[in-house]
Amino acid sequence: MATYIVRRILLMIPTLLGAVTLIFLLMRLLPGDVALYILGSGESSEVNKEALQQIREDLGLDRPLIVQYGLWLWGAVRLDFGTSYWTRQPVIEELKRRYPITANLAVMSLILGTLIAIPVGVLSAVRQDTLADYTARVFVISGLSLPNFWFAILIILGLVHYFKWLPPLDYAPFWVDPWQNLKQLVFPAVATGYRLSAIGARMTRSSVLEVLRDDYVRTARAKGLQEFVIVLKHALRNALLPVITIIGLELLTLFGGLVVIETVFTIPGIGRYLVDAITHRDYPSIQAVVFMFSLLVVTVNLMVDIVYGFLDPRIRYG
Amino acid sequence: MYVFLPHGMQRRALRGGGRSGLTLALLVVLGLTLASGGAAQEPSKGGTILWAVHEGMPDFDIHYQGTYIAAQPIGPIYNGLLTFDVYDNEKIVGDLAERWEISEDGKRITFALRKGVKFHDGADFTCADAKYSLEKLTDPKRATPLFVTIMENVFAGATCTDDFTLVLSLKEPSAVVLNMLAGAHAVMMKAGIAEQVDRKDPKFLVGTGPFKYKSHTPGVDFRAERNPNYWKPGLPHIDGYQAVVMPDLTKIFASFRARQLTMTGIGRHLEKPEADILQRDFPDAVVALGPRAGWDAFVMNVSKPPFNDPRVRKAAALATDREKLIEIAAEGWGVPGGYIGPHTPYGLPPEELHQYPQFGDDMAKRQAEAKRLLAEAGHSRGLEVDFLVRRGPMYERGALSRQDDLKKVGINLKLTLLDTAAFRDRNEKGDFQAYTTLNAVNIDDPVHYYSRFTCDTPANLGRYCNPEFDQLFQEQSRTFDVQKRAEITRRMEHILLQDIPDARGFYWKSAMAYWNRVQQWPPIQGTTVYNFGKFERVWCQGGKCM
Repeated sequence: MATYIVRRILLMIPTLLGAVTLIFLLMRLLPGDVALYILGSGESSEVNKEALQQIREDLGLDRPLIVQYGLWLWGAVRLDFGTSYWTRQPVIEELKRRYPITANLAVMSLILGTLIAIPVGVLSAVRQDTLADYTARVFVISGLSLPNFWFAILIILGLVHYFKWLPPLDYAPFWVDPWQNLKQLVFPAVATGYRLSAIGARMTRSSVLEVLRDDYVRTARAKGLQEFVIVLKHALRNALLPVITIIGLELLTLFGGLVVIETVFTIPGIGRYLVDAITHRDYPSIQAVVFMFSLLVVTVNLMVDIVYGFLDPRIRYG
Repeated sequence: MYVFLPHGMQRRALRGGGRSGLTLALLVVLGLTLASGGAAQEPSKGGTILWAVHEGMPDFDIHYQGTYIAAQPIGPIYNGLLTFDVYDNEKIVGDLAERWEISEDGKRITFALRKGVKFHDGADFTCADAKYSLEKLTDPKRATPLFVTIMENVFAGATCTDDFTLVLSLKEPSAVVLNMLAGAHAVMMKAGIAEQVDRKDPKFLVGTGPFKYKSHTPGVDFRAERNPNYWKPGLPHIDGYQAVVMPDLTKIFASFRARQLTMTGIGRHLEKPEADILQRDFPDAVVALGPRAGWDAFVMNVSKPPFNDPRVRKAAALATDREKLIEIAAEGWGVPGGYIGPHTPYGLPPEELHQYPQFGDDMAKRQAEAKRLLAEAGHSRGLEVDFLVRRGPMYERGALSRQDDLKKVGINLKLTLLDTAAFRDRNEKGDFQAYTTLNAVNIDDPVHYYSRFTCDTPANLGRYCNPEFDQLFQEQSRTFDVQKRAEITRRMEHILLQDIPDARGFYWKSAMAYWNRVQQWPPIQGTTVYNFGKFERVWCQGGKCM
């Protein structure tokens, strides 16, 4: 088992390297120049060539690509992602400031999504082919098909139109001001959690339906147990395993969705940072965010692999 | 509540007639009186103004940053030597200069500086600071090309005859210098600041202005608070302000409706359908509308086929249906014009503009003439043109309208949508046949409008060059008298309307919304986006701004 884990960890390195190399090259292939932005992203088209060259030199953009890449990579392994071209702040400081906000939103979305997914899925299964089931299925299909940015805009417009209210502009961490934190993040969490809840509800429904047809459930019914005891105590427990797996995997997709949601709701998290960085061709920031995101993905995959390894010996020796 | 200042009336007023000026003043007073509920009130102290900017500033040096995203939040930290009186047709008045005199040959301007003015850190403002600031404005490494390109031709030096007398020496007389010094970016900084402090460091922000730096979170907001020792007694009235970074128009408008913002933006961020909602549902909202020194540009690369042929350029201009374009791109909030803002004293009146075929009323006739010109230029079977469009609803709608118009005469525009970075990259390299975007100037002066058409200037992306035009450009820049200068610019307009270096569609109008608790907000004028009076005299009823 130890060999298996070490092998998996070693495999992470080329995966990460591949991801950051790819993003490094892709960003350089895109047309656009951060120096032009720094000289003024407004509507005037006046640019001084001398100043442009000076900025490129200051930022090290005039160096050969391989040198830029090597320097960045050497910094990244020491968790020094350099300085943002746009804000001139150390990228690691920006990440430290913004990651907790995104993590806060991700956790809230996950909790919200799960809290909705399981009851809806169970209800849909136990009331199969009834109005409740059809309603739940509409909910699920909508959640899967509506783009989350559009849903987010609807939420904003709905809140303003009907309540003349919007989440506050100033972010407060949960441990500093829980109420302010909830007010600010609950609606963005709904926007991202909706898709998650739809996926979870669909999985819960099919899983519960399958379990409800098992022999032990039939036995429980024959014993005269009450239906809700059968569903909650016997069926749901067994049905939840695949649901938890799928929600765990969806967490990674959710991070992608947060990029859009943070921009729409003006939340100063890592997603908005990434969007701004792409707009400004702020390479160090983009590379750092992608690096951290890749690290998260490979870590989650590693954990899944290890768990599967424990559960299924064939994987360990495969 | 709506305060619309009809564009035509503003334009007539700005054209210089005393009676029209009175009309505008009356309109402004009427508008402000209506907005304030009808009675003159004692200004209340307190309140914070919040507004949206669409992205965060890259650094704190507004000598270096020509964009509004820096000028709006940072401008009120400073004073200039001169400033525009935003309540009086943007007339130039003294700011840190109490008075100024121009020598007879026009080559020396002597400024008598205000005494007793202190920087936010307690240091005295003296001539050394003014001299330093002027010299910085001429340095390409420390100032935006906007200043440098003007100053390098005229700036001979600045000297201090004593602590409070500054003499600005010019290589030649320059009418634009005073306008430039009154603009939002030509602020007076503390001597040596750029050498001592990085322009990204908030410690850079030491000014003499009505507000002091409070905090800045990159990409989130910028906050400033009242300077209690401001040299203008009793001002400012509000406690401070906060510029919030909001890239999305929907969110800006929603935040305004939810009263999280005092104003949608300064001279920005309001579209027609939103104004209609405010009119219908929010009686205490004020919609301000006025001219804007920004236009819908259709820049043609005259150094390459097919637009190196004037006949093809003329055909493109003839085929453009400007009325339709204004409806589609700006939902009616636009006005046709020549190559200088129609709201300025130099803009051509509509009747004169209509004498040029591309502004004629008969669209069918114009299309026929465009086809004839294309055939004459060897494009009787039509031609294809690569057309770069900056991504964004402001640009895309207009681009589609143009595409439709030009197709009717045989010019097929192949649209390439690019984000801003890629778009600017292609333009700067001259890698285009034609492109469209919103172009603007931050000072309403002919030099700023026309410098993009003079040979060999960095702003001339279309590579147009006409020595006769350049000669007139030099001549007008040396002419201080507005009427005489306007006579020269008329000739320049004529050249451009004949040569058609770009087939611009229309001039945008600026629109913004604010709550009527806000008092003494200036009327929208051409460059309000930059020059809005630093919140000096603005106050909020009961000290609440929303």
